[in-house]
Amino acid sequence: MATDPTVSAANEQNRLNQNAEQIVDPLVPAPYDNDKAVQPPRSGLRNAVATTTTYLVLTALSVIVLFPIYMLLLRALSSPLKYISAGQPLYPVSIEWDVFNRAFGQASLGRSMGLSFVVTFVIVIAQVLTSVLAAYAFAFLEFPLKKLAFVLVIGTLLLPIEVTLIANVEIIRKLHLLNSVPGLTFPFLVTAIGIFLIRQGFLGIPRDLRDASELDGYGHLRFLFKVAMPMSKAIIGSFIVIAFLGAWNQYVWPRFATDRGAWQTVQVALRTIGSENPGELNLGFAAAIVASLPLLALLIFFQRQIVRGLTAGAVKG
Amino acid sequence: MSAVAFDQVTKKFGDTVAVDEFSLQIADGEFMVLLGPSGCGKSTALRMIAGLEEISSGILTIGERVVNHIPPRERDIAMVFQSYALYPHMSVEKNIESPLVANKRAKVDATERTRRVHEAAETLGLTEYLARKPGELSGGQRQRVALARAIVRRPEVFLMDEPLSNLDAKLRTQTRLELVDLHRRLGTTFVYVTHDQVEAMTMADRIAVISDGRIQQVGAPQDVYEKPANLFVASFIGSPPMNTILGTLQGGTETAAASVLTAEGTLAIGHPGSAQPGTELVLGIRPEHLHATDPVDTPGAVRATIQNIELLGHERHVICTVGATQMTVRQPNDAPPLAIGQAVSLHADPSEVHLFDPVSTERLN
Ligand SMILES: Nc1ncnc2c1ncn2[C@@H]1O[C@H](COP(=O)(O)OP(=O)(O)OP(=O)(O)O)[C@@H](O)[C@H]1O
Ligand SMILES: [Mg+2]
Repeated sequence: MATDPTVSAANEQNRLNQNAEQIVDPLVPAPYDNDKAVQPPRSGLRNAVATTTTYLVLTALSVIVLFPIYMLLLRALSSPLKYISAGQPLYPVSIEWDVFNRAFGQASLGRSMGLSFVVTFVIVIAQVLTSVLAAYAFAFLEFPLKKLAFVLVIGTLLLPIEVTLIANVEIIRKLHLLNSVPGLTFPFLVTAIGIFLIRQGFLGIPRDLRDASELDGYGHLRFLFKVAMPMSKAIIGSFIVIAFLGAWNQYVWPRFATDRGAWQTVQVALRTIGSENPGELNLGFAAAIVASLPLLALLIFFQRQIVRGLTAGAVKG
Repeated sequence: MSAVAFDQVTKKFGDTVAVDEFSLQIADGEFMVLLGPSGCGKSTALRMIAGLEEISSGILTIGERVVNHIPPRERDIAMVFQSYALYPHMSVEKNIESPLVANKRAKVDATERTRRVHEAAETLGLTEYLARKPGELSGGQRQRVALARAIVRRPEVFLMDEPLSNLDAKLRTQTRLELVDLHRRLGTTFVYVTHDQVEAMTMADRIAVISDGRIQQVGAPQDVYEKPANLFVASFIGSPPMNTILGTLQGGTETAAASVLTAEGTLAIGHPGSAQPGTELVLGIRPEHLHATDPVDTPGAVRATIQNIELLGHERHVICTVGATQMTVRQPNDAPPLAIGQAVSLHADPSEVHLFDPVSTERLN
């Protein structure tokens, strides 16, 4: 099935691999086609040089990406004063393992994480639900002004949160929803990214299959849940990850939609911990590490979905 | 089981007329083949029976019921698609039972459902594959899953849109026989769409030949082959296609034989039917009714030069140029040898010559 997102993602991967090969080895003349047999034989030495270069470049890139994370760990573990007096070296100084424990107790990080879990959960569930339903309408139904409606939905992607911030805060305040889960989640129950991505997935379902399901007697909801969603699993999975990341990492909105310490979400709490403990900088670093653990777990778990879903959307979009 | 009737049914897509005033009665239990070239509107006609396309005008009846505004799932029909349209994420078993699960009207209890699914699987030799996903099956097996899914619901009418075109030649021949057999056993009305005349000839009770959205002729395969209603049908059915050549009718009456004057000589033919002497017409002669003989300038024959000879093992096709036209002679392999470039006379079996009006392209005799 040419429209299967996994297949198109795999094709894309092949294409990228081929390109990568060409970039890494510019000395080999371009082959007439992809058939390996017509390529001039490479000397072993050249091959080794090419491989080594590739690995060197990749290693350098990894170091650049991983260095800040290493520094975060380093600063979290080192006793702050001793670290500074040691001249801020690239290795930990006087390691304090209990810093994570202390961070967790500070500024009730545990409580904030709990709240963030609730908020994230509500947002992810709501976004998946609304995106799937809207995507279904845009992909499979005919209704007046469909194109315009879709353009408007996608248009909301152009508005950064800051543009609507004041107005939204005003509304939430008037609804007496400040410092509440509804207040923290309300503006994020629907998202154009989800609608767009999942619509792409649905559009990949062949017309014959839709017709067959119509003849079999599937109604709209049954078709959605029994056919369309299972067939778009990869894309929906990757969207769940994206939605989770976005919701968990919210900072601006929770800052404005809450004004009591008890309603701090995790990212707000991190900031508070940092500013309330100027003498214990390592607490802030440790808290940041703890706060990112759920994301780390999510990324490890859904790694494949993320890449698949994003390339599928990108290739077709 | 139900009859299907088109009464002046038209389907327009914007300005395109895909199906133009179809009138066709498909009898209860009949195997009807809609045959025509690509883009002629045959799939559209089938999809209207299924309810997948709206009808622009006219009346479509299934059984006693006018179905113009009845949604697909209430029409009690099953369809097999060229792409098979199986659910890739469901096992073969789930695929086959899906019409029984999804359709409230067709719903049956669990034991009956299992029984029917296994019966259908058995009928089509799929029992050992029930647990597999469609992606783990060969093309032929997938095709049979699609058929099984169609038969479990015991529909009034079976619709098939080029169901064999993704199979290789050998499997296609075999499946053709299986389909005919299936039709005989089920006794249900089949409407089968194809562009392949061999499929049409071998399976149909009757063929409806379609071109440009219009029905050109409806009839039993042999009738359509022997008495094509117009030039389109004449040239579309038969392989190699019917030879045609322009000429003027000479002599002949209702009962007496006539001849036709062409650019390359005079060809003897049978009774000219209603055509009057002196009229221009198009002669149609099937390759097996045309004969090449050695002495040139035989009376009642046209002059020709052999351009090519195709050997097919059991027979050969002698391709000749006759003035500006090309004509093919079909011969048994043991006919007297002929050489490329040789001049020959071509004469026709007089009773097997078809006459067509060059303007209306309708049959004259
Ligand atoms: N959804 C549509 N919108 C616009 N035009 C269409 C649509 N479906 C079919 N057509 C047009 O209607 C005509 C008939 O199409 P149809 O699919 O019935 O042809 P067909 O005989 O099945 O051809 P094929 O053998 O290639 O499948 C074609 O000219 C086609 O372009
Ligand atoms: Mg078609």
